[in-house]
Amino acid sequence: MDNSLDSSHSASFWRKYVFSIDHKWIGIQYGITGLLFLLFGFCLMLLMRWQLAYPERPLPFFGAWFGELRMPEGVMLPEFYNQLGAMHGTIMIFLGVVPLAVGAFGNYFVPLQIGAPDMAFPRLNMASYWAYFLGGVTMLISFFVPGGAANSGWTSYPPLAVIATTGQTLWLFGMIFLITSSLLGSINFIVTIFQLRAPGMTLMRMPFFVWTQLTTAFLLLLAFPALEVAAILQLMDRLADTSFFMPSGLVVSGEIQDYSGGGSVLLYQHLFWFLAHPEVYVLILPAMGIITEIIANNTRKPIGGYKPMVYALVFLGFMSFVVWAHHMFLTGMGTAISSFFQATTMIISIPSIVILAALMLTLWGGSIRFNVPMLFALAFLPMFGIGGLTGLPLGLSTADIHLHDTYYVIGHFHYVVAPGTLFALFSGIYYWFPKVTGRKMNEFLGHLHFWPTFISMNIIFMPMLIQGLAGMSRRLWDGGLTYADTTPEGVLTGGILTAGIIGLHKVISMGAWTMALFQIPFIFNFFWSIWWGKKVTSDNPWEATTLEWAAPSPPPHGNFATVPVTYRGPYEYSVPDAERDFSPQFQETI
Amino acid sequence: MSDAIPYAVDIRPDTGLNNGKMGIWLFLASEVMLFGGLFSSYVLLRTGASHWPLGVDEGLNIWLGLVNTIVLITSSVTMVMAWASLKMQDFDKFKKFLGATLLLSCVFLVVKAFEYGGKFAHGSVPSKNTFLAIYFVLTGVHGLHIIGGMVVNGYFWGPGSKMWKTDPERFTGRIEIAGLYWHFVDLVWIFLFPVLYLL
Amino acid sequence: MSADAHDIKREVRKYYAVFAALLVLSCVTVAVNRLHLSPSRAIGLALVIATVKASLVACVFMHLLSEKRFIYSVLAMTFVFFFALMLLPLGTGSDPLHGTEVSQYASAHAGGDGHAEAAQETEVGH
Repeated sequence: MDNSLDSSHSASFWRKYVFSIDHKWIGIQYGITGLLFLLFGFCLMLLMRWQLAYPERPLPFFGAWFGELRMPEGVMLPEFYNQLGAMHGTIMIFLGVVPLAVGAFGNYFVPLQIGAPDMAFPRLNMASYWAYFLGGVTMLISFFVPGGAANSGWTSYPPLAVIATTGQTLWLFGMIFLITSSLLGSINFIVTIFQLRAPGMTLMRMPFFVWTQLTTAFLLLLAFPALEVAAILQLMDRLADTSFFMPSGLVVSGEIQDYSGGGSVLLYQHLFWFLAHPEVYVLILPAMGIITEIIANNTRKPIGGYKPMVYALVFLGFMSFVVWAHHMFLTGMGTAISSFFQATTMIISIPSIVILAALMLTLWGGSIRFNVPMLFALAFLPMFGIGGLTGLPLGLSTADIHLHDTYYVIGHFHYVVAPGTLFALFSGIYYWFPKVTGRKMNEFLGHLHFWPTFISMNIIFMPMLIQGLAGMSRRLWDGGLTYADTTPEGVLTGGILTAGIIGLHKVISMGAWTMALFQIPFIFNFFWSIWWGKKVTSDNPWEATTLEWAAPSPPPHGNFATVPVTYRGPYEYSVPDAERDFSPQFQETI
Repeated sequence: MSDAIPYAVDIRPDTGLNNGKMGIWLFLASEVMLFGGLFSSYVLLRTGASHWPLGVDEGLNIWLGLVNTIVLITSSVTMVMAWASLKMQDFDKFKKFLGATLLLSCVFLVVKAFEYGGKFAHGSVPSKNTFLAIYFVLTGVHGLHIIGGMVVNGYFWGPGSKMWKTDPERFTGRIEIAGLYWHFVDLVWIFLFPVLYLL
Repeated sequence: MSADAHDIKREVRKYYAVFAALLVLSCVTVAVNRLHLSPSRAIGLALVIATVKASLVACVFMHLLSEKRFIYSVLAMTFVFFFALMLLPLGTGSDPLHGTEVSQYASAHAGGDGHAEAAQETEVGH
């Protein structure tokens, strides 16, 4: 393991494009793989939306592709619906959003923003990508084993997951690959950020994006082992017939299961959520980092309270480890424990609001440039606000009794992740595209992407909140027909869901398909701009202040021609008496 | 621009560390959480059970456990001595000590294999009861760590030791890092032995 | 890193002293086990001995006694979360809602090969 970056200058095709150790290329690998998985997970959801809107009707055009085991005569089987649900969640979170937010943006821009030549451990970085890739492939293969992919929800709760079909075993192996990947990645990020900062780049001069990546890396480092434990124990339950999670005398389909018993199903849930709650912050923190960069750049003023934001971020990271059981209020934990987790959950909303408020206040009095990245960033603020505020009732243990496991929960966390994190990721793609390729993306196509996506996101997720308040469970493969208050012929059945509430599924599905349609401008724009986009004339087309804009576009191997020196904080825009309205960190005089 | 990653060998003044040492400690922090999670599961399962067998009731041999404890502790000492030998510029002694560490880890695994074999022969398989299940998981995960450590130590004993001639300081650093990992594996066993065999 | 040969020699003596202490403590922990103390005492004592041994390894072999502040901070943080992890059993075991105490029969046979008995009880229970 020699340490020179030179080794890939004259490197072979494999070294350069496949097993590259250059953080920028690894970032691009993460980005492309992540975007493909995002699209794939999105397609799974489109299938589910057909089933929910038109249960038991054959899917037109594509229905025949899926075969007798999944969709006989184009009508979806409940088993296949369950696979889609479980894999949509898994793929979107672990293979789509996190690899994009951390693997792609983090890998590419953290070293650039702190003025480093590469990540601290380039080979570990490569290993991290390939572990992720293997995890993804394992997940994809699981669709083709007998019984199909994992079908016990993205949370894989036992005992259901333990008695589920083979796909679940592959899911667990896939997770172990992904955990390894993020472990290697997080060590690399922390060491890079602490060790490879350029001269003058003190911790409090780091861009907020780097801070979010640092916090995220710590969350991944210390929370993921709990899921690894859960995965190991569940694998043992499945493969060696142990009963870590299997209670005694479990009866399935009228038959007593052959387990020694004595296990605890709650143990799994505790271990799972010990990871999965910090994971929520892994999803959102890098997104906040991205939009902070973009909002500061496009309001042309310093962000309103850099230090409070950093402190809030660190506090948020700490607190995210002691709120996990608010996902488990309905497991019979008892009121004292519930009250504790309810209190910590209310506390953790404070730092989120500090960050959001700081970003909102930054807009005040700024001369805002409404370019495409900024539109996405501006949309992030209210959308994440809705997502956060709808979380509060879920964090209160009494309100949660009604809302638990309903579409309200789905609406809530999708507001956080879809128009929240995904908008930030889109925003980041439009913003940093010139740095990566040397060309800008097309503005008109960007608008054609943004506005319909923004509107249809709300058409999708707002009705879900209403359905959830009306009591629609999130697990119904027939869209709630079983619980309808009348049959389609109008005969009263005594169910709880009115035709209006069930009918909202059609609205949501229309929204989803509209959104799918308007991703085409983005995909076209993305590829078209790589080769034919407008060339940028300077290395700093947005007139930004952070270090990545000191490097050439695209940055060469080793990133900077000379080691950049940092002279000031990250967001020095419109400094009084300065020559221009931005004073880059790498520029000695204002 | 220099063509190497900064602080791969020398110490960064403000953190007082080089990259590798910071990396291994972060990795160990993650390992603490991994074994912590397993240990926590053990406590939860045990406190939830109305009857929990002692290790000896399930055919665990305390003396074999004690032997393995001593073997692993000794291997830890030879490991730290290997590093100290490099510090004293004595490469031959380093080879002997690291070789001893490798040998001792083999002994540990052989004893462990005999223990496993004996249990399987008596039908004491993981699915028999929750105690045996957690016993096999804890010792199995620990055993995998031993094997991982042997691969690393074997590399530094064999092909990796060529670096001593070209870059002795860097090589000493690597042995220190491998040692930190090895001591951690030993440290985990120090807890596993009483928890599984005695209590 | 600037430790000269003399310092190292002193360190080496320390390593052997710790080695001896670890061997003695390993035997002590088995000896204590032979005394057949009450379970709570036995568990307490064994964990105390194990902690002492682990601290010796960490402080001397892993040089934690003279480490950098960064490492102390990371470990301190890890232990905070480690203790959070140790709260898991508390979260499950204590304060159950009334009527949910299923553990008597759920784990009655954790120690034995009691499929049949467990099955019977379930049938009675239903």
